[in-house]
Amino acid sequence: MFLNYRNQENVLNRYFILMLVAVLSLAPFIYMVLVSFMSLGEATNIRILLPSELRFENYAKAWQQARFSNYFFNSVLVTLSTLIGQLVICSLAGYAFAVIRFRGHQIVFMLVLITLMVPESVLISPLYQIILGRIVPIGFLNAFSIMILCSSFLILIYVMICLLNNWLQQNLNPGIISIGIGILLAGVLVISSLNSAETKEFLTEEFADRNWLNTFTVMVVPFLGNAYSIFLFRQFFMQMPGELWQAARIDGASHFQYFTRVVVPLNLPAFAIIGLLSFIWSWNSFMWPRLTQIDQTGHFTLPVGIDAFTRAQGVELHLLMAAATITVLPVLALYMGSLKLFMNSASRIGIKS
Amino acid sequence: MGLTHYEKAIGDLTSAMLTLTALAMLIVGFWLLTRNWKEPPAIRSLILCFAVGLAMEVLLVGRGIELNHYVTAFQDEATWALKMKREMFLDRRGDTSEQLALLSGHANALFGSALMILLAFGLHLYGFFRKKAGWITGTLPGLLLLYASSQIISVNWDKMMASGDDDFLNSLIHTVFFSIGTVTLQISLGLMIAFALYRKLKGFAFFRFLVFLPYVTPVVAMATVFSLIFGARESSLSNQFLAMLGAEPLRWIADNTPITEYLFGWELSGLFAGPSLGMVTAILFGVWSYTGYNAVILLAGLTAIPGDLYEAADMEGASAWQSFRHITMPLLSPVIFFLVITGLIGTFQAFTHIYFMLSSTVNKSLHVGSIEIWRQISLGKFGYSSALAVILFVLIILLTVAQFSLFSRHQHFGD
Repeated sequence: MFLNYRNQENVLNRYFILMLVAVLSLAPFIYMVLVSFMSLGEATNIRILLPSELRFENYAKAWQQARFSNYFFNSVLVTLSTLIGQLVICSLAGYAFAVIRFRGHQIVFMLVLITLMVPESVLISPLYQIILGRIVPIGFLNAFSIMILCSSFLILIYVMICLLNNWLQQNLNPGIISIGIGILLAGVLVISSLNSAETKEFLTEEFADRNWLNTFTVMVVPFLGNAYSIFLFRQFFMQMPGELWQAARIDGASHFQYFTRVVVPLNLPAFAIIGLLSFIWSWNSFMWPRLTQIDQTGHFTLPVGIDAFTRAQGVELHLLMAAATITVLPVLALYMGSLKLFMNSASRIGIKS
Repeated sequence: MGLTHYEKAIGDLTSAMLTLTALAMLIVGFWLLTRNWKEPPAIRSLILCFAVGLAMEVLLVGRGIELNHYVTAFQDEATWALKMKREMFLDRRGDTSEQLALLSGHANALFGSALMILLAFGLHLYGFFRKKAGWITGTLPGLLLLYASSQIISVNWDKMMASGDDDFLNSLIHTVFFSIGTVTLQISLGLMIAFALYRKLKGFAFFRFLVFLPYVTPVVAMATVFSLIFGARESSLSNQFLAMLGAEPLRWIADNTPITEYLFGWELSGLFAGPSLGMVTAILFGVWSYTGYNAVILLAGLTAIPGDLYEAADMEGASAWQSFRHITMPLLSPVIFFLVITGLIGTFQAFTHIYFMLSSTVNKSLHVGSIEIWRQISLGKFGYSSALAVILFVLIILLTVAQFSLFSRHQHFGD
């Protein structure tokens, strides 16, 4: 019987299964890369498995002519801003659920967890009503989201400076410095938008007083609060001993001070893991970006770009595969770089819930 | 009332209610079957059966009487009955006497299942008051409930299909196929891989890297690759592979012939025909991308089981199967439970990869619930699509609650 530990000495059996699995999980990648080097004739031809030569010009074509360079940078922009916002907001929420005992925290947490079961398609109509400005005025939405983005950015700098303090054994004042950097950046933004028309155009497009269709904001803001990230952060923060908080409290620390100076430095792996997960989610996200980028290709992300490319007349398979490879590569690099973290996160998710 | 969208989607609301209650009863039936009946029924299971059974009885008998009343009225040529022909008949254009026979047959089926539920409840009650244990008071009522509820579901499903949105109702069946196929396959294969990786092995890190790889790669890119590999063209990779084995090329993703026809040559249709070949291809992708994730989590669960338990079992002379059945399975059950729950929730919401596999072809048998919702959205019917999405959401919640109530007491959480 294979499923028993005693027969684990039968290494050949195990290697056979593992080799099979390895081949099966690698085969689509290899096929994708092979096709991406073929010419169109080879890609559609029967009985040709290997490209006759390595045509790197396919990648150049996909990158420039098919505008995948544009899609790539859009994807990077959207993914990075979602990542930063999600890390800040979800970690704060997770901290609140783990440490602060406010009235009804269990009920609120259950409500957060229920949203895990909500299919994305349920959210589409209400979200659409909101971004068209039919429920709350769009100006209010703009102000609200700018406030959230700015404050999460400030908190990020604050935490960074606290970490720097820890690392360099310095005693910089994080509050003053982060506010200073914030004002500095705002000044740079205002001056550059006064000087260059491009920045001004970008800003008015993002936060103009009409609706949120065809903007980057709409692909970022709805996904800042993610129930799964909140849940994971809570699980990580719950593992910290309660004595730490009591000791900090006796020393006169507020919740925010405790969070930035104790909780974050102690839970850096958690931030890395959840950051990686949320990177993958938002890199893959398709339905919402596809629905909100209606009439222009300027803001397309990679998945939406691939979709548009597939639906165009006369699909060029080799270029499509080159585009797919471009989509896979960054995630692959991240995965290789952080293999250990990934494994830890995967096993942790399974055991702790 | 704003229920028009729902009425349009699931047809007759009474039938839908009956189907839902019958689903609840199906779960109760399973619960009764899976319990160990060495003890007489407890007050708890009595109350459960009573609550579900009573609601069911009232609905069933009412519906049956309504149907019979309608049939007699139609035969007497009452004007109201003739006017309601459109709502009551399953097929408006069909032969009148045939349709009437069908309706009275449905009424009889409903009465029959009402009787069965009554019988099941009576047996349970008998066991409770006489303190009798055994299959007559436990397993038999469970079987009766299962049979009755499947009868009710099939009768009412016909009615819903006749009056509701066929595409959406069919897509729910496809969702169930996709979900069950993916979850069972990925967990069993994952368990196998986890066992292969369990205990020291040379190249462990390398294999774990490869096994987990499909989970992290972008779905969009890989679904496009899969739709190319399993394309309908003769030159696609899978067809070349088949040609190498000397088999006829298949149409894979574009094929909507049920899988049972390929395997056994049966020509069935509807729920019993099983998933289509295109759906099997979609399931293959789901299994490909999620098995590694399941394997890694199961592996973590396996390594958490203390080894001295196995040694103790060895001392007692337990066979390999016995130690698997009585040590590994119970201690692994919380992990499997977690995987089943998250897997079912995830597969019921599955959208992106099926959408991309469909991008090169048109195949209705691949339309799962969320694809159907997407279709309505892209037609601009936001209200209707929201109604469909809410129905899907309710189904997911019911499924989760049912699993918690069915299996969470059977888990062993260890110490």
